[in-house]
Amino acid sequence: MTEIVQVVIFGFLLGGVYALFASGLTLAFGVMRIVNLAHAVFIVAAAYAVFFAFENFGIDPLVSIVFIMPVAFVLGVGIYVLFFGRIEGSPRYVEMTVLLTFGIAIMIEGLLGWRFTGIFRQAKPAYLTDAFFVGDFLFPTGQVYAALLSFVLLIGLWAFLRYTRTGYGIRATMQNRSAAQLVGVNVRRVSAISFGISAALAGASGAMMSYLFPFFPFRHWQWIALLLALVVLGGMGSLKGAVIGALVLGVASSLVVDQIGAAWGPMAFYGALFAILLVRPRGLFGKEVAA
Amino acid sequence: MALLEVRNLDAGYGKGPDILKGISLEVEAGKSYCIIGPNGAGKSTLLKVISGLLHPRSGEVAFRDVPFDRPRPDQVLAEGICFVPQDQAVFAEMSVKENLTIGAYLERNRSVIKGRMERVFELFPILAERASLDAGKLSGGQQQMLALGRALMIDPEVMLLDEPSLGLAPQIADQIFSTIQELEEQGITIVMVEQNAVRGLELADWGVVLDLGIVRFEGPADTILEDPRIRELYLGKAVTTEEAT
Repeated sequence: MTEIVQVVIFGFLLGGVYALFASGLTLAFGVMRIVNLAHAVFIVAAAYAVFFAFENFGIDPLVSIVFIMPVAFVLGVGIYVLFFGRIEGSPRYVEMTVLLTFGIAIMIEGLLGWRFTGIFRQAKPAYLTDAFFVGDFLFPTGQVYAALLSFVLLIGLWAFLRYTRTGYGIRATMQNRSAAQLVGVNVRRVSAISFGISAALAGASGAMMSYLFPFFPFRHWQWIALLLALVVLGGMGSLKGAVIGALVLGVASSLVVDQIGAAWGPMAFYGALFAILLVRPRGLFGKEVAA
Repeated sequence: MALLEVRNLDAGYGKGPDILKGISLEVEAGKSYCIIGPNGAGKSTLLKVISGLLHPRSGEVAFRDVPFDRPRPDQVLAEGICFVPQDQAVFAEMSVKENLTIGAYLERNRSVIKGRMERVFELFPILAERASLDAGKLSGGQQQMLALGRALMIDPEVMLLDEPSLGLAPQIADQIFSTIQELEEQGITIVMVEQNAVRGLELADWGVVLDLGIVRFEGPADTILEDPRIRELYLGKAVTTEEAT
């Protein structure tokens, strides 16, 4: 029993980080209907920035969030205005976002591969190998920090969406784009801000990836597959769904790894994706999509 | 001078044909207008163009004699013209209170927002009772009240109402119509599209009959109501021998 609880703790810590990774992806879909296949490569690019800031200037990966998030926000707004503003209003907008973000992902991956080569990188702050016990249970310090920070950022995002004027505008746009326009929301501006926030969340995620998960440019394809699985499970566009989906799948994959073997860990994600698409295609908290 | 003017408007969707064909209309301040006509006449399209949701192919909409230049809906709203679409379009996952709050998105003064919300709650006491309930859980009639209430949160000068009684039980529709009348008495200019043409015209000062994208008739609403040709063609009431004589 103790072992199972320990595995659940590991899964929960992992799920907390996954929740942050997926939050930006689901926000982009919820507000702008962008299926952002480049979200994971944004995370990997941020991980490189944080890795080199750590290696060259000794800046702690978690502290680097303070600079990486604003930079990623500005880049995100720029990317939205440059690429997505042009295709707004297209009858095939969603399909075009898939192709467009696929192209952006390939482009960034190529640049990263050219500049940093394909070797694995991982920042190694002191707390990476630290751990502490609470009763009989082991808590890896680095993972605890990442999970706590993820929850702080997610609570911050929730509070922003719930209590600020821009947050109201974003939520309204997520629920009903044309009705949001009719109450005075400038949906273009809100969309650009949301994409910036999505990129900023990818920046924060990259800071965590830099020391939690070894990375190289091509790795983002594995990540986007995993993140899409948990976003679809929670319901595309639902932040609550992404968080719950991430926690559930974090725990489920840890249990699979423990009980069956490490190679089967990813199967938890794709098995859940397969099951949810069969039983409830709109996911746990997603909205019904008209045919 | 008309408050709102529609001048030689042509409009349609995508690459499709023109739905509105050279429409002109003058709306005077404080009056109520009812636009009637068969399905596909372009009634809702006209309101969408005025509200900025659709841009005209030619012609223009002018407010206080100043033409709009391909405005966004939020810019039209900022002028005091609000649009309540026929599907109500409330934010289902937001509470009634949040729906009303976001109705005043362009207003930053909290005490003003609070005052307007109290006014809406006076107009629709049921919304006050359900203030913390998600809008998606309200009945159709209550959602229509919320849509009207949300539009009032901007303190509009002109309200564009698309089928306000659509899908509502007669008793609830009566309540909505009497509220619209009350709003008109408060000085709000009403431009309404209504399938229940007789009821809409009874309420309005001026009637406009739209058919195939063209204004066929317009005039005082009571005159239109009594016109035997219009009654036969558009109001679903054949002229009886007695009436004809």
